[in-house]
Amino acid sequence: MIIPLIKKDIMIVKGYALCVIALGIGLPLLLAWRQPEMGGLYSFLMAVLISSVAFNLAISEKENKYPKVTALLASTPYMKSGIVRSKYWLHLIIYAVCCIPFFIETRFIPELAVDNFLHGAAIVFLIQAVCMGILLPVQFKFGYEKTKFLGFLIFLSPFLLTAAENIKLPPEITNYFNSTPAVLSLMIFAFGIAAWLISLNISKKIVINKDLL
Amino acid sequence: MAAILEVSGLKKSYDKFSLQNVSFNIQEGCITGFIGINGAGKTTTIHSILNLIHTDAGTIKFRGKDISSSEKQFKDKIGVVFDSGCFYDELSIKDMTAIISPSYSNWDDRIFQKYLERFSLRKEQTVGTLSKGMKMKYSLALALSHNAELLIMDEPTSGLDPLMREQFISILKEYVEPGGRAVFYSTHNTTDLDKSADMLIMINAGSIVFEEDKDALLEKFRTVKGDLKHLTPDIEALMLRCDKSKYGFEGITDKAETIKQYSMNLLLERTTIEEIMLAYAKERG
Repeated sequence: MIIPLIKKDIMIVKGYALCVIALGIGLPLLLAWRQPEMGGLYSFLMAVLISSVAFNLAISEKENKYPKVTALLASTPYMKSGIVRSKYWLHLIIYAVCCIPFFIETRFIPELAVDNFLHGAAIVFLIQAVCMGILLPVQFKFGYEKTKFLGFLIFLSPFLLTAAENIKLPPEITNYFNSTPAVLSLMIFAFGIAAWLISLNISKKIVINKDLL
Repeated sequence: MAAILEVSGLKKSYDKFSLQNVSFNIQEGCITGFIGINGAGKTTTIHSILNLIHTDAGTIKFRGKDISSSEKQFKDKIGVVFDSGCFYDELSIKDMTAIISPSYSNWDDRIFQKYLERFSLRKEQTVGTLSKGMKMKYSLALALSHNAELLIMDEPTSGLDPLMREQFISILKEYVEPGGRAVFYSTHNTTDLDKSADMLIMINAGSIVFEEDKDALLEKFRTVKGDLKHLTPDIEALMLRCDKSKYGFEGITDKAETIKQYSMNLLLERTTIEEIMLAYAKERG
């Protein structure tokens, strides 16, 4: 039902869609070549976040230019809630578009290799969910004009990656997860999904109570 | 006639304007014109019905069912046309339609194609290259291609030339003809309503002024003209509006028979929707 709305977002910023694919494939390669110390998970995280923020900014700018299109779409059975949901799905697609090439690249480029791909992918997923999960409701609440530069704060998020890696858990927990690392990764994914769902519900409430025009 | 849409107690407050307890019904089989001067509350009312703005109070029922609990079904059964700017200029008709059409459960591509041919539109055309009139036709084609039971339109004829307005009116008449359907459209261009509307609802300063059958309304009101020496305070009190000049006076009344009893020297003529609308708008400031 919301696939046409996701396609719409891609169609209205066609150029950026190609950029996202190029970033997803190219940024890890570029960093591995020019700054090998920033390869691995950092390059993957940066590809995901830059793509998410840039894409979000481009779409919001276009929607801000044509507010009546959003009103027309909200007047169809998509309703306001469909419009909100499609934005969240789009960011999940961006994650996937960056994740798949990165996974392939890690197989062939040693500088990009990560110890545990699933774990790394889960951490990046969680960080994207937290960052975009905060940005999207704020943007729905205050509008594009007031929040357009807020997205750039997300580029501070590599610090989150360092922080996440430095979290010290009690030994009994770490011992358990060391024996079952996949469970920890799945739990991180689950936290990410929870962050997305909480954010989605907040955004829906904001938009339903908001005047579109 | 059954009410297809029932609006009751609609309220919405802004800093300098508010909808005050707006209530009216849209009857099945009718073209209902929603009139009022600029800023009267027409667009706010339509946006409230479409849940594009959050109202402070009020209920809207579509075929007797509260739309707050069945918004999706309601929106599946209506066609919506806005005045302008409701498409991305960069996209083609084909792309824009591919975004909107999947939302409707009853979308009929054959009907859509027929309207495109009738309006001389091609799917490959980019929306940005269409004239205002062509964009309106495209909006209409979208609104009419999913077997909608109610058309809701906000100022659809603004900026259209007379020929296009005439085409527009004939399409609306064709649309309601099979029965079970209704049209609700706002305008401040009342000449279109003279030709098309069955019912009229007027809003002024956020309140409904009247909701009447067009013919009954035109029968009830009269333009009163005469020499100033015949304009007594009693007669003036019977008029909604009275413009005076050195050549005489002209006013609008819904008490023509009483005025006739006061003076036989006055000219009483049939009036127009526009004059009635302006009379109410001026009377209520």
